[in-house]
Amino acid sequence: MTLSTHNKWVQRAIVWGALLVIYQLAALAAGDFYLPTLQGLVDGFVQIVQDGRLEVVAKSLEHLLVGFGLAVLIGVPVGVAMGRSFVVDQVAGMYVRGLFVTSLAALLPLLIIIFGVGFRFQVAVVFLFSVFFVIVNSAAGARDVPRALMRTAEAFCVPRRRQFTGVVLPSALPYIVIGLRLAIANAYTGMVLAELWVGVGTGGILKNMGQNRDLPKFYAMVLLITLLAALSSYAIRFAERRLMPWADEVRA
Amino acid sequence: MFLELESVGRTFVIERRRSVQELCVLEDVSFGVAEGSFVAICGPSGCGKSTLLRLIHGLQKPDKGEIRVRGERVLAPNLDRGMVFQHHNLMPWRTVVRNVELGLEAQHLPKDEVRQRAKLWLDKVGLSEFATYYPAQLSGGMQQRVGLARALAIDPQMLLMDEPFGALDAQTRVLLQEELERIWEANAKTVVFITHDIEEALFLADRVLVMSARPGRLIADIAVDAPRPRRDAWRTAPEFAQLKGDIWKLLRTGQSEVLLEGAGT
Repeated sequence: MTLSTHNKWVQRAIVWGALLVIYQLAALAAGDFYLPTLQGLVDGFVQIVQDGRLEVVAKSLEHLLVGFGLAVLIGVPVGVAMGRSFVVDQVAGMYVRGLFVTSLAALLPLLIIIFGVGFRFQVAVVFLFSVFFVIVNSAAGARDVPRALMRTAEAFCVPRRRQFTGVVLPSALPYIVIGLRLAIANAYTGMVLAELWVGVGTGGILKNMGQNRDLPKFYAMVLLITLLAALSSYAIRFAERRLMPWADEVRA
Repeated sequence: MFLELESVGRTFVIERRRSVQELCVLEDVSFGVAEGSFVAICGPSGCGKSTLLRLIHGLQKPDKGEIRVRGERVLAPNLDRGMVFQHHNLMPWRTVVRNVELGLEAQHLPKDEVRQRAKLWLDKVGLSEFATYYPAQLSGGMQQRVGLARALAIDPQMLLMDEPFGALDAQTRVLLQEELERIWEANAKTVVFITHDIEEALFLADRVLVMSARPGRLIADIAVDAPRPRRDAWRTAPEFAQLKGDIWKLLRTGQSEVLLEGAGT
């Protein structure tokens, strides 16, 4: 393999390199008071690590994983049931659609009253921020199973239970995965927001750093969370390719 | 008679926002099919021929009349009847060989035997090399052959084919017609084959049933007595052209009647 501009890694290096240069120029133009330089960012990151802040982030991620895990465990079955059953859609759909368009941030005070400000609160916020994306997309996937394929399964006497596992679920899977990817991004939003609100964990640290104008550390922290969120989304995509080889090989 | 239809009728109720419309798709259709024969049903689009096939298969039920296979009334799909659809209807997430296994899985056979039979039929349609491919990686003609293998793998007494080659290009269609004739000769299943293509019907079938436009009724029952295997010799024979002209006239008058009726109301 020769290195040419058609190589995707060469293209990526050019784009990322250019972005770094632009950032550095912007930082120099804006000055330390608004934007730290690349060197400042790196220093900030080293300081975060030395201060042991990564452990706090790890703790926050624990809340995120529990909340997101619950959202998947509850959201996928509820969504699929909504997509396949008119009754369930009528009963649950109202609440789901209602809460989906509600500003969940407005519910935070209520959640504090119910759950306090500890573990349960953090998990509940992450859950609420992600579960509706899972439900809505799973429902869409289960609803959009091609009728021709259902009829084919029926024509070949596939039992009803196997029609569900063998036709409905694989057909809905791409939608479910899209739901998960949207959900994980929102789970991070929920995680930081909940912590900002009560001033603990990663969000709490961000709040303090912002208020103290400790910008190199602040930006390094924000970047770290952004990277983690992007990585999580990418991990789901990777899992999707392993779970759905047919979709991947078609693309190839 | 192997398959018998007795004054079968089917009406669909279409609910619009305000009005409820009744659409009579099939009216008083009666015919019988002898075991081992190849019958083509030819008619203009929208004449209810696909509906007719679904009724024979048991996927839908007639409102009027009765359908019997070997004297037994058809009430639901079963594995004595294999269906080949107009669009291949393969499961995109299953490999080719797993698609062929679809109907075999309901038969409670040992896994080895299921795989063996699926491979055997893949071989017969010339696709054994593609067993591990996904349907989307195959051409239209190959997908349709997988659909055919899937229907044959369950070893049905009757093969029901719903315009299986309708969506293919002309060359692939002719090749698959010849392949179907070859497979049919080797296995002697009863076949009911739906098509709007007169040449296809004449090339393949022992008997061509011609249907009128909606509501679908049988307007002719034509025997095709050409020797087999037919191949190109039959396609270019003068009798072929003669029969083709006859059927075309039937279809045309059948349709113009409806157009005139429509104009009168």
